[in-house]
Amino acid sequence: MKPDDFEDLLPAYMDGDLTAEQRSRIEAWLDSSEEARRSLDEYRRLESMLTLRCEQVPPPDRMLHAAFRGSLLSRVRLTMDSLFSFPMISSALLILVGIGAYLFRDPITAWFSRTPPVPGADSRQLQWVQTAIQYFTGADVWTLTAIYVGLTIAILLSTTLMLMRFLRD
Amino acid sequence: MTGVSDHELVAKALQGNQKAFRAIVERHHATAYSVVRAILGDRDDVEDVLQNVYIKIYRGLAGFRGDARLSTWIYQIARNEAINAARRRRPEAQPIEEIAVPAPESASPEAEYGRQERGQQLEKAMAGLEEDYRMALELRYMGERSYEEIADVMGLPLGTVKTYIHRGKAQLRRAMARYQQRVFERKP
Repeated sequence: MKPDDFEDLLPAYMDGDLTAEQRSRIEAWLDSSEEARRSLDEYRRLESMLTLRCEQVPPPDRMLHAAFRGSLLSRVRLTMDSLFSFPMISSALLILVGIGAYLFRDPITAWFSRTPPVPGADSRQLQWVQTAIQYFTGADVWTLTAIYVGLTIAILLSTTLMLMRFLRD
Repeated sequence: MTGVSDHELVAKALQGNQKAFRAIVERHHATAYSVVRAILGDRDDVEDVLQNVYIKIYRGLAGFRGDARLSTWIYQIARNEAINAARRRRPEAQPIEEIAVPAPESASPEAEYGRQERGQQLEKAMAGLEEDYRMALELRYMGERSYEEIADVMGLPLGTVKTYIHRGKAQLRRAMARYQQRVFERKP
């Protein structure tokens, strides 16, 4: 065997992939030659440099995000994300609160002023909505008002919680 | 989702479970990355190619029959995508023999052999290897795959993979030694 052949066997020697005979010949060569030992050192240095290559692998997040930004999946996700985002949900909730306040403005005013509403003095606008709700639920105006106020407090609390979470993220 | 098999992850991903798809990507990212790097080298568009790989994996998941390993399937997608990208752009790889040695006017020979410098030379030497050797080495070291896993994804016998890696290392060592020699020859 020529020295080049021995040198080429060093990676297999380092991996323990040689036969017993090849191994003993390589070891005899390493014992007898300074150059052989230098070659083995070079292979060891190369091995450590190659081992560091795994550090060059970037995490997949950026690539995944970029990959699906323009894809159908991403469009669906973005739509869902934007629909259920904090600004959209809070806006929807506030609009609901506004509509509710408008519908129940007379009972609410009466409730806060501690004076019962004058029969027939309710706003004619959207009065049919109140009537329909009362008809189907069987509740009186005071019960509905209490439910509405409770819901408003719950909505405001959940909006505050969402805002805190949004700011934290 | 550790402990869940690839096939279970595929089934969940097909049901719309995005965490399962993400787990698939995370599990095979290093393999896909090392395959693309083996073909394209240290180019700027490696991550762009990987984005396409992930889109193709997602779209093709329904057609994955499961008669091959998922890693092999992903390897094929990554390899094809990288080859297409390499055809679209001129390759930057140099033959090992043509690796340029920087002029040593400012840096000392010791600095020339600094880790960063040697790292760059290693990249160039890797680019000059035969593709099969480079692929096996990248999967082994960048992808941190075992010899058996490399044999599986490349569809080669275990002995062939070992031969590729050993020969690849021998060529790399020679290229690095030649580089070292040329640096000393240019020493003022």
